[in-house]
Amino acid sequence: MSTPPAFFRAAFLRFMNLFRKQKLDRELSAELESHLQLHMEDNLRAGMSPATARRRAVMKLGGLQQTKESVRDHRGTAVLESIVRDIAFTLRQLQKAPAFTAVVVGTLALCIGANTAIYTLLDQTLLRALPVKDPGGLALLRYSGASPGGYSHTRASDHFYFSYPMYRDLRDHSSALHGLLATAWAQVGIQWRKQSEVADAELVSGNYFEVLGLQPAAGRLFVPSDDLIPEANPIVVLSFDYWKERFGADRSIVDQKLLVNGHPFTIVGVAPPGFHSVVPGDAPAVFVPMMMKPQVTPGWNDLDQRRSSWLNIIGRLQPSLTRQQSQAEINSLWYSLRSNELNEFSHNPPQTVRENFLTNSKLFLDDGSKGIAVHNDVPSMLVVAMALAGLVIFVACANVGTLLLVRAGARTREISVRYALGATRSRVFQQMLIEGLVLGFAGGAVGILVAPQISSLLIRQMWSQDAARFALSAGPDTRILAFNFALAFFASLLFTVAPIFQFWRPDLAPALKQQSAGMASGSLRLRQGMVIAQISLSLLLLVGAGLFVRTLHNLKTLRVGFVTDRLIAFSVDPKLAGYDAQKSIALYQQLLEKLAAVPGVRAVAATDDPELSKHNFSTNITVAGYKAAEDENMNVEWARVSSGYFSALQIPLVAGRSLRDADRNGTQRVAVVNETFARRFFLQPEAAVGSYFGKGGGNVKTDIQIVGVARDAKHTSLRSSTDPCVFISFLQEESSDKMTFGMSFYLSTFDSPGGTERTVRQIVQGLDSSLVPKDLGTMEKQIENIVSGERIVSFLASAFGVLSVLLASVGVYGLVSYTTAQRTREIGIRTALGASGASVIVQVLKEVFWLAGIGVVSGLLVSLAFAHLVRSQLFGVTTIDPLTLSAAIGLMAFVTLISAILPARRASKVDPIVALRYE
Amino acid sequence: MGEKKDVLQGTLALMILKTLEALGPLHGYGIARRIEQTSGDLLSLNYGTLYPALLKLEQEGFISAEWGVSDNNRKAKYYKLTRAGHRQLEKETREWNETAAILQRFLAANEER
Repeated sequence: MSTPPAFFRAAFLRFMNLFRKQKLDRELSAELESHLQLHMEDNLRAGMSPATARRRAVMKLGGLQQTKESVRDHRGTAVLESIVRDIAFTLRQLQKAPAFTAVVVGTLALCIGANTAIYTLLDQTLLRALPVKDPGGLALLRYSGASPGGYSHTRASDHFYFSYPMYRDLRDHSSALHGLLATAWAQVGIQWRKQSEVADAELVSGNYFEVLGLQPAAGRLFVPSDDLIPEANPIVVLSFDYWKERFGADRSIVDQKLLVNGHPFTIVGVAPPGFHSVVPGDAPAVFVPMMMKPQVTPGWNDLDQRRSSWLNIIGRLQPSLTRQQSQAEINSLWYSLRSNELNEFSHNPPQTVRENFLTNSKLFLDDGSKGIAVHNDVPSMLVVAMALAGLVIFVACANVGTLLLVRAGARTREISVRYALGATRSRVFQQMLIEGLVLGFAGGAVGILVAPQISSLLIRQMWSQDAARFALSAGPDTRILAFNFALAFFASLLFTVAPIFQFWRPDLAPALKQQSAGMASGSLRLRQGMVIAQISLSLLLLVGAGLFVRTLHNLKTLRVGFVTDRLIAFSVDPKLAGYDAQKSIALYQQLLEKLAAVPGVRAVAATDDPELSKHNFSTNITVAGYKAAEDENMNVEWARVSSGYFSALQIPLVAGRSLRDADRNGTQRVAVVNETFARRFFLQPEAAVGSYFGKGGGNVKTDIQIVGVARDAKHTSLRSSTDPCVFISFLQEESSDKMTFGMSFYLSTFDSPGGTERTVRQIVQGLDSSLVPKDLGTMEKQIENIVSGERIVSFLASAFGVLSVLLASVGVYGLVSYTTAQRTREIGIRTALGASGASVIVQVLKEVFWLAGIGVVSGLLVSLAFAHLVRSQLFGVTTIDPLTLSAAIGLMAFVTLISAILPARRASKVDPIVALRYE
Repeated sequence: MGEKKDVLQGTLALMILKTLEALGPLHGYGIARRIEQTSGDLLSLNYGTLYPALLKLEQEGFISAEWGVSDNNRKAKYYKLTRAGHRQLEKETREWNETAAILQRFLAANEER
């Protein structure tokens, strides 16, 4: 009968009726009463007695209450009213059980909060697209095959760095991609109004901002004509955050000059807010045109070098072509460009080289919507963390479900009464569902409050020193909030399923009589299964945590080959202050003198190849008397060090002598090599002393004499084995090599370094106020940073492990409480028959340990599989590490015992008379 | 007098509207009485079923309600047809007549065989 507008009007009125319930009820009663009166009058006139008149009227109406109910049903508010009532009821019940409510909401809040926190970070580092125009149309360039920096033997397929000439060729000749931009990271010294600081910078091609479709917040952004002639245009664009922090968002700084590495640059504009870089996670302070590279990276002018790969390329796809078509088209261009390069590098390259460089080399167009994922390892760790968090939330839900079951068990009688009074199954479930939802949303609400704290904690743990460098925030936004509540909703549904199953087919009579015999065995199995699953998962997490904690410990206490305690390190990069090669060498000599004179300092070492920094400088060499095979890798690590290097770091020499002050510019070029080098080229370390080699390949002069062989030490990283290494005095570096290099200094102190750090800073600034010592700190702290990845994983695994164990204990507690409560009568009988309290406890515990045993065994199997899976990440521990396994099993057993004993003791103390009376 | 048939669902609403059109504003009891009379007592009507139907019509906007005073000075809630109700009544009447005519033809056609 109803038309659409009528329907909506009716629906709206029905909703509004919720609020006018009492008034409407009163009106209805009045109306029906008046109806009866009218009818009675007619009946009286017809001659009936007053009593009969009334009775007849009521009968004809069809019953007063029924009519009222019928009208109320039609008000349409029945369902909503019942929901409101159930919510009120639930809140009252939860208030009466504060411990239960606290545990449940706390557990959920922690799990939901953790998940939300991880998702926040994941979103920012991995999922969020760049805040630029049409990020989906961007493609990141990657190529496979050999890189042009020498005859590389890697067959890796993830080269992301290109040379500038290659970029130019691709940009100018590609039709599949238009708007190819190039970008590279650099670190510069910035001076503004007499204040210097070291800041991150991004070298960008002129079309960078155009391709990304960005608008300036002030002034203007780069255009392609800014980036045509090398060193012609000293201009910068400030990032928005840098502009706000350093310059107070002052619009008048446009067209003013600041010093970059000692050179004046003009500020032309400010980038828009919210944009940091095309590399997510980077937050450069300034953007500089690529043509200004010689100033930004002094001494490293390789704009024309085909062999130097240092920039990333992102391009815009032609909307008319599919990604496959674009890729095919650009690959033909790639092939011809590479072919030209190969001919330029070598006139008759061997077949293998040709294959690696040309035939097997392809250019890939990857999805560029999220920018250039340089910081790749962290997102994958976050994904692992998310998976773990998901598992833990699952366990938490299972737990909360068990706790709800325990509660529901106590309410069996109440629910049976409800059924007996005529409640429909759906009404009973509605109440249970609402209880679950209320708990779930309460947990979600608290979780949202807790999430930012957890995010901050994660950021601090995972990014430690670099936290300021990365533009990550801990706060949630709308999407995160939605995610959080979806999670809460999901979780609620998950754990309310359990009690509902319990009451699916209630046996009214036995339940009313409080008899326990009719407890559905199916649901008990389910609960037991959940506890077993929890124990298994806890064991897995504990084993994982144990393995990684031990790995971390092994890495930290590893013998690196040089002394790491009482060692202060810092580095200095004078080219950022405008120094050239000669001036910087003089500076280093001065620094060495002054630092050695500081009281408490035993010795000072200097090297341009910082220890354990995962970077090294390597080069080809030719060894006199050693015939290299055709494609043998003659690459060695090359470090320029001070004469006191070996003694300061306490690296012993196994043959020959160390470098001396006498080895300087003009004297015979000498070098110390490490054991690996000696063994590789000379079989015996002693044989190396006195031999000659030369830097470079081909027909280079072998004029460097080996004067000593040092013990191997880990230079590049803690895990990797040592490469052959050459140490030459930094005073003896070829004068033709104009490259200014930064230097790292290591001070070995007698006692633990107290105010030495401050003294170092004073000395450095005293020599030149524009010099800034970087990464000033103890070597131990640096090693901490190096193992940050492992630290994160062990932290996460331990945190989750502890959480999981707590949850498992709650689960065991809940299960035992439930089963003993159900069997109160049985226990009472046994006690009355003479069983001691202890035997009751033992019996309960026996059952629990049976369950725990299954859990442990299955958990063990999964743990071994997992350990095998991650064995590449472990260090110094085998996959079947007995210490870890036994500790984990022991802890689980202990926890299970404690959790089971409490309810077991309670059960054993039951007064048999009370128990029997429960019938 | 034949067996009193139960009132078909939905047709009750139509009958209420027609009654209100014919008699003007009327209270619930009066409407019920009138429907029974009009059907020639062939319909058995539980007066209570009227009230949910009245509520629904009121929600849909086809009738409006107002408290008033009856002939015997008794307070009662009077219902009245709205303009929308008039239109709805016309529409429903037309549809019913059409349905009845089609059905009539069917039944007549079958009888001819």
